[in-house]
Amino acid sequence: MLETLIRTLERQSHLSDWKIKEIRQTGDELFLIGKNVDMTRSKDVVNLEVTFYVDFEQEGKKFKGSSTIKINPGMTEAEIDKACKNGIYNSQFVKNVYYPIVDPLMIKPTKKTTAESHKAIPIDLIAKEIYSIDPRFISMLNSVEIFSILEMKTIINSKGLHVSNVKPKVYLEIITNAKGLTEEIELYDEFTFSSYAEGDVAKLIMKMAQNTAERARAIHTPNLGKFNLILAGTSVVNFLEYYLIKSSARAYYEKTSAFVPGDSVQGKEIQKDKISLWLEPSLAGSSYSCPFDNDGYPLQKLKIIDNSSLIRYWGDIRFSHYVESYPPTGSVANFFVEAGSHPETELKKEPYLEVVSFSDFQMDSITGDFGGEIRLGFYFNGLETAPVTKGSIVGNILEAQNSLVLSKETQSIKNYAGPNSLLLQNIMVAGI
Amino acid sequence: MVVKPSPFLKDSHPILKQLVADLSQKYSYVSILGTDVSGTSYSVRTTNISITDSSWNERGFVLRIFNGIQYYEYSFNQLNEENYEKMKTKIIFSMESLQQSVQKINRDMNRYSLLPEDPLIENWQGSVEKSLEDFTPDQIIQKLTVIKNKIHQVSPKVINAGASFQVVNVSKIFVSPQRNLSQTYTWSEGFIFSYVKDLDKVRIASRVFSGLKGFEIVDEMDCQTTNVVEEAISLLSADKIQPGEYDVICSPDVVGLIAHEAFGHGVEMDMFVKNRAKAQEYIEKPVASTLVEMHDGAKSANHVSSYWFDDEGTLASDTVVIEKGILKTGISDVLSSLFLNKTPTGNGKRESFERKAYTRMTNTFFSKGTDTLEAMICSIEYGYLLEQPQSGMEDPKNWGIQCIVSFGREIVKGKITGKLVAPIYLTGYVPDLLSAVSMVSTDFHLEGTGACGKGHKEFVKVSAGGPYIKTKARLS
Repeated sequence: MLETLIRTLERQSHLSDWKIKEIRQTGDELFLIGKNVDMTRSKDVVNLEVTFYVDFEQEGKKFKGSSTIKINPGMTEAEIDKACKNGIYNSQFVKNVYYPIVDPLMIKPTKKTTAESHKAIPIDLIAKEIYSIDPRFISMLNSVEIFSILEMKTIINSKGLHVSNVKPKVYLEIITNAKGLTEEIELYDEFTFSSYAEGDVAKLIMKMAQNTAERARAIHTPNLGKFNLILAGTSVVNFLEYYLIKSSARAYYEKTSAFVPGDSVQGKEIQKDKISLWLEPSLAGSSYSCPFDNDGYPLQKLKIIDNSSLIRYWGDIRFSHYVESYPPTGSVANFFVEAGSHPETELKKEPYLEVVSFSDFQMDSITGDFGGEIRLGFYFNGLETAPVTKGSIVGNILEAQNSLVLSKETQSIKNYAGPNSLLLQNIMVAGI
Repeated sequence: MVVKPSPFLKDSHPILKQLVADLSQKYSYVSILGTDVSGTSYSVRTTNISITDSSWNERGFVLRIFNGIQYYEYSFNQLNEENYEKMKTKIIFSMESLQQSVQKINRDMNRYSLLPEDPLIENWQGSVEKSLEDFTPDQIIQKLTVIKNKIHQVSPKVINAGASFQVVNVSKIFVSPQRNLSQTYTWSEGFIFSYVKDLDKVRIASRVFSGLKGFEIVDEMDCQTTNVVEEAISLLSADKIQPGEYDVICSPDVVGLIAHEAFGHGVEMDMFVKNRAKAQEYIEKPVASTLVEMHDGAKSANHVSSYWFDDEGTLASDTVVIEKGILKTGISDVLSSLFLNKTPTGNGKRESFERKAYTRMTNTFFSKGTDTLEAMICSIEYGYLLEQPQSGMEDPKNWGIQCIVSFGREIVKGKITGKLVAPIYLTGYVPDLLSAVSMVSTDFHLEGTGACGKGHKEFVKVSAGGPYIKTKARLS
């Protein structure tokens, strides 16, 4: 299929360049309800995407047109040819400022094929470990979904670039229940990883089960007004991702970011911790790790923000070209934030509300508004700590970042490694 | 204009029938769903133009086999006469290998019975007013560029603007020993936005458009360019709301979000199977004001989630979920119905052929009432008119709700003052929110842009909406 597609692309006229992205996935899925297996599934699919590039000049200015289509396996050579001609035709109506595509002569590409493993993580291994935890906690498992696939991603372009990466990926969705004060309650969480070490999954489940037990005895969040807020777990990723998004060449180019290299990203009056942020393409265990981006551009670990000062913008080859001052970094999905200097015990010296689970924490990367409904939190009134639920928190990062304190303890989840928790002051806590 | 069916699915039909027939010799139930979803997305922004295939595009097959205890599925997209025997062997091998792996975890299996199916052979085709085939990409990009430029012309404060549009043709076939079904229809959606800047403050406003429509939706977008800028400029001076409980009027799109999050996800019956839904204890019990009636169904409205059969070959229906405030029933996929011994409602939907079918919403809405919006505003001493939903999250087990709304218009002594508060987090306990509904307007509007997830995945197309409603809500 790939050979037919390349052959077809090479004989097209009016085409300046092309790029193919192929993703092959094979794997199994297991759906459990309580202690029982409810369903099994398998998949074996190939997805192919082609981008056509047409360069042209108008009034002495260079432009690049492009369009992207999906090529379906099983298409005949004549069908592929028709689809390509259609894509090239569409490209001529797209008038974007010129940018180059990845040229292996200009960069040091990654090895042709890289692999973290050539096998999917056995689904029974993960399931066995889930059900190996303390039997008292097994009864709290409401349902589990396990997706374990092996993915091969390949990028090929007309400049001679050809890179592939093979990696296993696991997605886990877990729901836990516990009898509450008046009714049964649940917690929901999801986990992604690309490597397996015995004990890791059990540790995740145990922590979730403990949190579920805490939610079961939780009281309603009181009305605290403006209060010390500690974010922990996934919401820390969403919060700190604001700085990653605002540092991108694309955000700067599209005028949705006012970040300027050399300036402080946290404003002028930082009272506590300063952020240092890295792009980390090979974050251990992350399903998002890959040595190249969707253009095939080779990725490297790189510091973007140092002690709150923006070092440079990051971006794919296109938007980096638009911003000009900095060479491309490629588009990196993982990021790493350096740990703070304060242990979590210090963050918890004064009265606080720590939220470990939200219904859906949201951070608006344009306005900096953030907030969410509390599923599980811990309220310390200066004397004792109680689990709380319901109510909500609302804040704005521009007003809150002066007082930001990052924990010394770290976590690694999804596309992030960095502080386990962070403290913000004067955040509105609306209780019941 | 009638939407044309997929030639790919027509050509694939004989080989799919053969595969079902061959596997039926060994297994008591075999069915296959074939999908060919194709669309193009056009976008013009201040800084960028793009034409890409729609992210909803998919083409492939999912096979379902009953092994005597459970239903196994295999998703694939490479099948032809040359690899037919190899694929058939591979599917059986994959199923048996996975069964062996599952045995190693030493768990009991939920037992299912054989799916009953009535014989049915049917073909359905939808239609649109303006087919995309009548327009060149050049014309579409030009039209979107005009809209983008009009947004810029409204105010010098606009720093980025855009208009995007996509039209998607959905073709599906379902083949089992008893059934041969095919359907084709088109939906489209549009989006316009403006970013405005004043000093360091940037705010965004947007409008969405959707329906079982073709290019005609772009004309609707053209009419909203001024509103999208004026609203963004108003947001520059919006205040934060003082947290508390208020009298509120929710606009039809906010009502849609509430219906969707409150008793949409809450009555998905695969949640009943998992004992994750509080709703199952409340069937035939009051959960809302007597003014509240709620529907869900692919046949309950003509919108982006209207189809003739779902992704499991079950015919579409119109389900009355709440009637006069009483919770009547849930919605279900076919396997949940089988497990619970209920009649399936045609709500088995997949993100694509690559994914499992779950119970999913279709067109979910509150029915209209008898009040006017003016009378509703007049009835409020102090409160807010909530507009422009951003996102929501369900909690079907404990009936918590979180809806993020772009802004609220202040109402004082029966009049809108012009003051805006933003953003707004509406949270609370679903029956409290719905029991407080005291007025329902005669208006009615459905919207179906974006996608609905189950948890944080499995995104499918749905619509939601209703009239304006007046209720009491906790805002922060």
